[in-house]
Amino acid sequence: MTGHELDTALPQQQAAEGKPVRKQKPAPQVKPITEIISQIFEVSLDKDQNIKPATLSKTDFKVIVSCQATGGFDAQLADRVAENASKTDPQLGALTQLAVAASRCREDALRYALLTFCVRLASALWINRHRESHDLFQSILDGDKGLDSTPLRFLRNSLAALYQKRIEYVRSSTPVMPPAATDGVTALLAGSELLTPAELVRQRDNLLLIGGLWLLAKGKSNPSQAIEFFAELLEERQSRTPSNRGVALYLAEQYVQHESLLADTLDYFKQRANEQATHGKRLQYALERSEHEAARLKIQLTEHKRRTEEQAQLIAELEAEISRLQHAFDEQQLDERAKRTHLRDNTGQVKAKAFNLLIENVLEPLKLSLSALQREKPKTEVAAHHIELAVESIERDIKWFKE
Amino acid sequence: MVQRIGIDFGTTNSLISVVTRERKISSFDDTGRPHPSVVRYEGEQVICGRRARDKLEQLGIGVLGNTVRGPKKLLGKEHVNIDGRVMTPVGVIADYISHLIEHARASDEEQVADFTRAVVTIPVALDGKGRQDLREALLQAGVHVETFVHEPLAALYAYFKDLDNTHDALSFHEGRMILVFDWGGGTLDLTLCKVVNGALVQILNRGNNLVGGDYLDDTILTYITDQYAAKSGWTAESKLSVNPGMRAKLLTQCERAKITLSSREKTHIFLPDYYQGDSAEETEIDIWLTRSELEKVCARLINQGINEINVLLAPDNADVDPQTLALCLATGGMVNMPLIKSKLTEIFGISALHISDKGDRIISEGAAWIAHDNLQLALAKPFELVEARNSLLTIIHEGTRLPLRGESIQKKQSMYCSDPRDGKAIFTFKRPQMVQKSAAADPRTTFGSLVVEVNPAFPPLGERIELTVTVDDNLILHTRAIASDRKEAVGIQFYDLEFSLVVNEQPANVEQKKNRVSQRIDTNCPKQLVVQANVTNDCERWAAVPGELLKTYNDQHIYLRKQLTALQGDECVRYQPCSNCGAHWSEKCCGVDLTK
Repeated sequence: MTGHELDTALPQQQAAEGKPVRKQKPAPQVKPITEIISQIFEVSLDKDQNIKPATLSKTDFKVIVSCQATGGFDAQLADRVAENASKTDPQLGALTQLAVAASRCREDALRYALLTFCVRLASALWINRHRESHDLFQSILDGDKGLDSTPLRFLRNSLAALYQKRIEYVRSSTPVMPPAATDGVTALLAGSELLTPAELVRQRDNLLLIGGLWLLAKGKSNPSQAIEFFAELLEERQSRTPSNRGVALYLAEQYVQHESLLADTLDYFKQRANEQATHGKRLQYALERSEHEAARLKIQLTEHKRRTEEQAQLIAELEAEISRLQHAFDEQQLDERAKRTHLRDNTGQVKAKAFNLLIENVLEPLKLSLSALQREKPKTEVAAHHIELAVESIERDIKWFKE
Repeated sequence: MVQRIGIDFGTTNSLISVVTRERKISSFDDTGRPHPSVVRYEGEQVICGRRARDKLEQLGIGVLGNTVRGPKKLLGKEHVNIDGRVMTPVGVIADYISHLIEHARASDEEQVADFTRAVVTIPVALDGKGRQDLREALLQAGVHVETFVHEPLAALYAYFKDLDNTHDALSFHEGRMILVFDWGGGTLDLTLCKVVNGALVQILNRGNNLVGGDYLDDTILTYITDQYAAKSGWTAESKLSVNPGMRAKLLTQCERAKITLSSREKTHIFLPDYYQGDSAEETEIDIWLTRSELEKVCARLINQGINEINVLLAPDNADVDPQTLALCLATGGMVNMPLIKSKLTEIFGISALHISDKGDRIISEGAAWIAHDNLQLALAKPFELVEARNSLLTIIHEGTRLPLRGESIQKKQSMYCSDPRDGKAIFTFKRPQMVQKSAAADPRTTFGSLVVEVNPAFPPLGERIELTVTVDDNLILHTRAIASDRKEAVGIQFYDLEFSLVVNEQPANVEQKKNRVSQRIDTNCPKQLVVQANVTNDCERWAAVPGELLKTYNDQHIYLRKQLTALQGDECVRYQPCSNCGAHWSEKCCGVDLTK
């Protein structure tokens, strides 16, 4: 697809989706639904020999909604339509409209058949059609391991991831496509794979819408989840310059058309807003309570900290006191040891003095005296002298002992 | 906290002491007496102390059979032969110190002492190798020597510590001379000290190893036996032989008689079975000895000892009047003899003389106090280098703290030879004779000289000589010099440094720069060969170069000519033969005054 085609395709698509302002001629007779579908996606050329994009007219939409006849959605039809749709509706805009119409179909069997058909068609048109699955959503959901909150969320995440990869690939591989192809048909035929990133985004969003409808129809998603989902999709569609006047006029238009669903939708969101406000108030209250609690705990913590500090200080003081006492005790012990040493020294001195006195100054002179007296002629003078010396020594030492 | 110990390793007695927390001394003695320094080897058994001394029969110091008396005297020897067993002095001393330590450890039940670290006292005359060997022996016994300290300094410090107020006493003695007079059993040591800035500074030492108390006992013994032989009418031929072991007993009696005669006028020496003979009367010694006799016998030895004081204080030595001494601290066993007491009193006066009543332990106690007070030794006198033209350069200043265990101090100095013609640079080291007297005119004592080979082809002051002076923890001063061209290192060690014991820390002397003083030539000194130093620390000091050499230099290097001083001019002229007559220099040769 060329850049020119991208520029032109987008307003057409928007026109097809959001503003079906084009005048539709009333159908002269009710056509079978299969024929309508074939016609929607049929390839036709405009005056510039460009392929007209597929669109679903309001009449056809109403026909599909009010149709009651079922059957005819066979594989052949699907293949044929898919082949055409790959050229006329690569971004799956018309298919999405068809899916919406199918979802609103009053006949259950037909609704189911139509949706299944739409899914099959989408499976034949989306980026991973080479997998040849008839139900791409089922294939994706088969890989759900229940990690996401809802199947809808899983579907959304999976598709977003798949498309993200493709978009990145397209961006990196073909940064600029020269507008070489002059023939739009051949270009589309040849490069149906070569959707631009923006087109891929649109295709992804349309596919997500179809998927949402499919899940809703299958009962795998409740309406409020679906509302959230579609609302999120719609959020992405917000215009860059939102105009309150435009919104007012749109509402007036809807009122003129006697559309009650918009009122329901507004009411739903109003209710949701009320609920959110109530919830918010509750949360606010809880937050205030938590803050109050936190302040109380903070005060408690400060108090505990202060008490801990006081205790630590007390412990430090006690430890210092203990170490002081320990030191004093050690000092005292050392002093006592020194004192004991000196006492022992004194005792030793006394003992030594006594020992030396006895051995050297008493025993020896007495021995000599005895020896002198034991002579044939006793040497009394010698003996007396030595005894005198011994007595002198004893007297001297007794004085010392007394001191 | 356990205290480091003080060890007095004496020639005759040794003792370990420690100062306890009560600031009192506890000595690990043997029944109130120091341990005799005796080691006896009986087979594998090593007997030390009193038990070994009691078995000793001979007098003297050194190796006596299987016994070593005074192992300290073995220090410095390589080997000793003890009863056929070749041992090293280190091993013998280690055995003895181990015994002392073991005994002390066993006595120290309260574990107040740290026996692994000690302050050890040494004699003043112990040389460098002796100190090294003693340190090694102590290490083998598990004792690390924190510092060595000279015995007189330790004794003096113990004296001051025994006083009530050490600080006041030191202040009182500030700037005054003190003589430590230690007359023990083995040696007599005299040390002249001075209190300088609160430090006990050693000035001069003198010793005599031949007048110890043992020699006195031996003299008395000889007198007694001679008297007894004369009394018995014996001649040299008829003299009876002595019973084994009895000589030691008579020596003990003589020692006791010497002590008894300190307080009595006469005493009796009686020893049965001294001689080998038949009758009891014949074999015994039985003689009366009076104090006058004793003094007469000992007079020669005592006078010899007392005379050492006069020699030390004589004008050619310390030049100090004995009466001006503030204190004479007399220690050792001998100083209690009345004769010695009276002679000392006569010399110093009664007020200056203090005879220590703990002569056998004062040194050990001093060492313990030094260990306790963590005192440091400092150099007492500056270590000076003589330069060319007789000036002196201080290499290590007085008061420099000496290294403790494991430390050393080192000074490096670049020197230049002023006269390399003979290929020899001469370094002469000196110290002032007295402390605080390092002016140019003060007398100097020479340590020794160092001769370094230099290249004679170099110009004067050309070759740099690196001089390194190191003092190690054994208090030995090592000098080493190497010329930058010849690179032949030479060294010499000096161990006879004088120390001071820094008691009161004084502010450090800020004037630590190298100052040069010019020595005066002493014309009164006896005529002798003097080695003239020829080095200087300034490579531009051309005035130190001999005149004739500078003249030759100027002739060879005309662009580098130096101005000759008047003295150099004279020198130059004196060495030149007369250009007229060819004769050697004379004042008015050929009628011309050559000095002009």
